[in-house]
Amino acid sequence: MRSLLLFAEMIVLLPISLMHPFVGVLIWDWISFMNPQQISWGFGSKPPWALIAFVFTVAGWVLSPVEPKKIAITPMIVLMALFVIGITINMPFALSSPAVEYDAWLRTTKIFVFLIITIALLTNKHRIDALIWMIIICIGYYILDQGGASIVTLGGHKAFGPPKSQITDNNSFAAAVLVIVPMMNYLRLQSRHKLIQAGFVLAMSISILVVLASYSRGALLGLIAVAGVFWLRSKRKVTSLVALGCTLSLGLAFMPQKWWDRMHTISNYQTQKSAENRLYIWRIAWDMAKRRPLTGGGFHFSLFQNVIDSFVPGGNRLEIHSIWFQMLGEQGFVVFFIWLGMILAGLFESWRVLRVTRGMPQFSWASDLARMGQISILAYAVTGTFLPISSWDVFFTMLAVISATRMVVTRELAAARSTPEKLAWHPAPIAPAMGRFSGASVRAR
Amino acid sequence: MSSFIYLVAMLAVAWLVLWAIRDPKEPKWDWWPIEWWPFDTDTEAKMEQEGAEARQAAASAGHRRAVPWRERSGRSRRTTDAGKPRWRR
Repeated sequence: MRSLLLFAEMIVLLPISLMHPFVGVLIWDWISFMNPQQISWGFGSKPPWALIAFVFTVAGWVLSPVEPKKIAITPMIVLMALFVIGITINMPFALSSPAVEYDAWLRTTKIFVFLIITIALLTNKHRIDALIWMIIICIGYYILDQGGASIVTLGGHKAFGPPKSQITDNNSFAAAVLVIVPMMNYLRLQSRHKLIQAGFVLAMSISILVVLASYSRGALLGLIAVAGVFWLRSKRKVTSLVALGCTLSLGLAFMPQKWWDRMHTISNYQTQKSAENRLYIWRIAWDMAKRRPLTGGGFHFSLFQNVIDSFVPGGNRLEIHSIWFQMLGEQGFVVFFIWLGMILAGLFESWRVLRVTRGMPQFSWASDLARMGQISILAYAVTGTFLPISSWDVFFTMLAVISATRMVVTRELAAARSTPEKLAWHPAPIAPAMGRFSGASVRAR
Repeated sequence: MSSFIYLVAMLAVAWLVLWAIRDPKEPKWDWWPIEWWPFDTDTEAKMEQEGAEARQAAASAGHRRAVPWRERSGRSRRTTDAGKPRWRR
């Protein structure tokens, strides 16, 4: 039944993406983030839907008479292009097997090439909101599914993410949930309907429960950090403090004793095997970066015994559980700094949006999005420190959204400056003082 | 339960795609029977509300003091008209 539903929906939506290539972007993200084909079990799960969506989108984009073909040269797009070039140059020098290296390279390249197309097609607020909605629907499916299972089992169920994805395991899934909760809050702030706003409050509460139900200690630390920054960046401090306090208290009260036993091990991490393994593999990643600073060891080099033996004879093969050490060890310093540059560019562009839209209610959506985007970036940086999700597509899609938001705001401000006669909002005495422009604030239409 | 959420997610994806491509001003969208779109945002109303809050804050503080001097004048807090720091004036 699921398979039939997926097949029917794809058959209907794919032709639409030829006429409206942005629909292709939504389909690609849906297939990539939710992995519906992995939970459909049948003939509908067999076709390579992501590849088909890619082809339809590019064809629709090229053939469309209205979509912009020129890709703006922004810091984010330049860094994404450099990142793809960097990992491509590194590929022949990888120490892992050619097949593993090629698969990982192809997957990562497809993600970033499509992100560049995504930014080019995110031309207005409507599309930006649609893409954020798609992210929320995709991850939200697993939040509701896993959250429901946790509630039914009174916290006994351990939450997992989409199968065969980068966030399948409980730790990565909890980190993913923390990263998208600020985006849920953005949609809550912007939503027209009270029912949807209430739904988002419920979804955010379930998200916190899912983070706890992942039994991930790293996610618990991330949750504390994100909650703190969330409160600091919120406009209504008392309300948000009460809401956060109540939700966290309820969530903690819900968890069973075995959860508390696991969390208590945070205090004596020195004796924990997982902490010891992380430090061990981080050191190997760092040594690899020093030994091969330009190319690194290649994707997943730490899973190959011959490579590990060259550092620690007979040592364990492990995935590098840290976005920082993973990128550094696998790709070397050059690509690491390009990758770091993308994250910093996301922060810079969100800060820039906040700065240029200050005191301009017509851009309050961009301001809200930039503020929530900063919290998402922080959540990724904190929780990713203990996880191998350095090229997680949802996070980089959010960076693309922030970059596109800055472009939309810049374009609308430029249009507003060029047509001042169309711009008038609130001719009240406060208006001249609130905008960035002396004499009149703007209202871009 | 899982299948029900799956069904809702699939319907939401289809509905979202329609929302993303629709143009309510075009007559070709007249066929769509449901006016209620869960994805609609309310930037206009929020803008009005924030503007009203700002005006109220300004009124209660007597207009000029509602906005910091630095933002009113567009100048740096540390410099005078001549561009020198206050303490060197």
